[in-house]
Amino acid sequence: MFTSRLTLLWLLALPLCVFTAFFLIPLGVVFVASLTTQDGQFTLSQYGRVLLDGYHWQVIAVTFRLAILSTIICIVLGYPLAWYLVRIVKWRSWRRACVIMLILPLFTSNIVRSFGWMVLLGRTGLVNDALLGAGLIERPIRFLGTETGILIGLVYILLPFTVLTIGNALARVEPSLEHASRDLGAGPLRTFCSITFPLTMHGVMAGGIIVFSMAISAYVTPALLSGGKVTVLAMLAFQQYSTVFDFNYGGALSITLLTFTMALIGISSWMTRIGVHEKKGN
Amino acid sequence: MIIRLIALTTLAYLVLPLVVVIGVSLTETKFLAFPPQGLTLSWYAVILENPTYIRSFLTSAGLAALATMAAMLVALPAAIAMTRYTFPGKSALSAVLLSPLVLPHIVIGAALLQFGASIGLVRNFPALLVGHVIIVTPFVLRTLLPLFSHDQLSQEEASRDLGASAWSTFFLVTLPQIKAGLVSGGIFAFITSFINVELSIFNTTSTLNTIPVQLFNYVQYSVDPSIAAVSSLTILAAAIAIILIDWLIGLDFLSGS
Amino acid sequence: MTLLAIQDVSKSFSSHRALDRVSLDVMQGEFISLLGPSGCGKTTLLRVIGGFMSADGGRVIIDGQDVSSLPPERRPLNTVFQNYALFPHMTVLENVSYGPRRAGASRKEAEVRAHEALEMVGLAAMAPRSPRAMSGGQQQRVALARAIVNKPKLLLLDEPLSALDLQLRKRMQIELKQLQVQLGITFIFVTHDQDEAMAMSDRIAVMSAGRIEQIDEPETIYRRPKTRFVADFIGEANIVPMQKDGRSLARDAAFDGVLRPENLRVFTRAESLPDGWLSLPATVSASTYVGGTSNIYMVSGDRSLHARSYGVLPGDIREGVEIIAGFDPADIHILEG
Repeated sequence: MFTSRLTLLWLLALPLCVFTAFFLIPLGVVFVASLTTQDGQFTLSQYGRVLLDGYHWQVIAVTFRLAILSTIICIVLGYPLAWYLVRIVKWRSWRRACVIMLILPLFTSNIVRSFGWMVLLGRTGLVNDALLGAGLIERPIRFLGTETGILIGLVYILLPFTVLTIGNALARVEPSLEHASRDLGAGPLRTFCSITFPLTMHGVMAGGIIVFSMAISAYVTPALLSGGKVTVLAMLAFQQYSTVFDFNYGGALSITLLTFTMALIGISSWMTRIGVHEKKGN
Repeated sequence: MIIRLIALTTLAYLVLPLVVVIGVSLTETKFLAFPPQGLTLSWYAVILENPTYIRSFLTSAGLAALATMAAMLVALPAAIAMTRYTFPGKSALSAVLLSPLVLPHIVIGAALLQFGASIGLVRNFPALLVGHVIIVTPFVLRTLLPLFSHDQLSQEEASRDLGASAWSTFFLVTLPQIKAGLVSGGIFAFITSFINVELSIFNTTSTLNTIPVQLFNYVQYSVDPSIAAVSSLTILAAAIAIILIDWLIGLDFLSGS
Repeated sequence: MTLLAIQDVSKSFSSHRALDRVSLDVMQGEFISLLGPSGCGKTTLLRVIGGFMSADGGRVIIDGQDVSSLPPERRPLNTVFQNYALFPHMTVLENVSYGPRRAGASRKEAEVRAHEALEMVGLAAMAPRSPRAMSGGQQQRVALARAIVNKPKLLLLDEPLSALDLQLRKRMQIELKQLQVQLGITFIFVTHDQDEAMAMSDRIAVMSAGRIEQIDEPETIYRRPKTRFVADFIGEANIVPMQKDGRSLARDAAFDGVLRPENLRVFTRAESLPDGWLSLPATVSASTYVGGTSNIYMVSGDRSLHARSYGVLPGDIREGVEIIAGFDPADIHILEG
């Protein structure tokens, strides 16, 4: 029974004010700053500094490489785990326990999780001990301060997202469709490839988008596991605000980061939509 | 069989770092040792005697609680407007209100710092609060949106028909039905605020600090088992929150049909 | 005495005219049905009376008081909703005592009255149950009890029986009518089911495209429909071209005569036709025999005819046979205009 236009205005007043004042305007300020010099003149030189410099492209390349690899690994590891939870686990309490194990890391600070990996991946950490003990390596591997270390930490933090989205999609697939496919003579693998997987594609995409957008803008995990030896875009942007205090240049870095994130979200959702259209066309 | 193996290994991978953190917090040594050497709770005593930790913890808890309440006040009317009305710009509004979920927090933090600097909203509690409200509101909104159903609309009409005013109808009919969702969305929001680093880091100082930022600064320079003890406490808090949500709305949403 | 007066009520949704200057007077204690196909405006009219929607123009007067600008909670009426709209988070008793509580009754008093209302619909034993665990018919009764517990002057019912199966619906029709007589409450009943409206109503308002086409007693509506729409919508109608006096057939269809199937008879020879009857030559296109009733469908020129009679058809009336369709001109009703 909220029917009048006046009520609508009242309902929207607070959300609109808060998000305009503390979200849209600040982002606008950053955007304007990225296009001006210290004394307020219009310039594109901040973006020139970001985009014409080999060092920045190297940082962007590292950021992208980490984000793409994390996304792929999260999907590859997440799909079997989601399958296991939805299709294989029969015992309700165990599934519940598994879901709790899955969500617990999500509810724990990046710091705490990365801290755990600092202990595990150290020169004398559990991982190196185990590998040495198994005779797989002769000298401890250096993880901390390498992209591999950061990747392990990122995948760890982002994996639950893909498991949850894929699991959700998987739980909604009608079993009768798979039965029909088997009935029509397709083997289990064929059925998975042409029925189940396409039906869960939107879950894979949704999970992928979340992982990618979070990986590309991750700050804490790379900062802790890089030991200052690897730099990603978010760290570069943060430096400008926290230590260099160059808000114009920092603004350009922020907007670059924002643009990459939004562009990738846009492309992925566009691809998902194309996929849907193709299926309808068939 | 292979799937089972991969799945269980992956689960182990998810739990391992948390187990390590808890394990390390129990060691008797002065350096990080896992498996722990000896068992002691003395590191917990160390942090409980440290006023900086206590203060940061209280700041974090207060910040998260206030941000969550504010987020509910923002998200609830927005959700009602978005489910009960058609108006121009509705999808744009929904995109804006939900976008902090995917936009880099470090950019939002930087933007608020730069904007806040011009109006004195910087390096103080309100500055922290404003940022947290922005990033946790989408969590509440997202859990609320599917809860406003068409059935409720006619129930609200029935309530008015039976003599209840618009306000009593909201409290007697609408609110009881969305309460569980509101609370679980609130817990998500609380936790998101409680563990945030990327946003808080712009506005914290040596005297005004949150637990995760303090841990972050600490971990970068020196590490000892007291860090693990603080971390373990936050893991414990997370576990309690999850059990609460499970109890409220049930987490077995992965059950097949 | 007039209880409800609707005066010139109009309502549009963007370009669609849902109600077009509708006026209607309802007497105290009357059972009125708003009957029409979906989209005719009957539910919109009910929602305007209930206060869930404000009209663009016109007035709604209940018991002499203009309630047009009052919110639903301030109107002296209650509603039984189409999907029942029971509160899922409350028990049956809590649902039914909701009204008395809002009216200021103490919890105890409200529960006593709720029990009385539940007694009336035969559900007193279900009071502590949750409505979610009940059958459609039981939920329907709870909704009814909840709506009558405050003893409103006027009860609005929005297709309350549409979700029930046929048998239960028939039984509820009788119970509803009995309850209405017993309580003396005025009922406004929205339905798209003509049998339901015929069986229960004192008067029926047939609606189409936002207007009331005709408002009359069921028998009058059936025997003397005012418009072609009413004739077609209520029961089945053969439309026969008649002269204005209603005595003889017309060649150049001057007036539409409405002839109900039970008044049309079939003859194999013209000689059998009773004196004074009119006849049309026709060819049988199909015939059915259902539940003791025979139906013959015929074609006469470019018009199709339908005759209904009790008992089995003679064997010589088969598909393709040329026959004579005859009727008594006294049974025909000439549409105005």
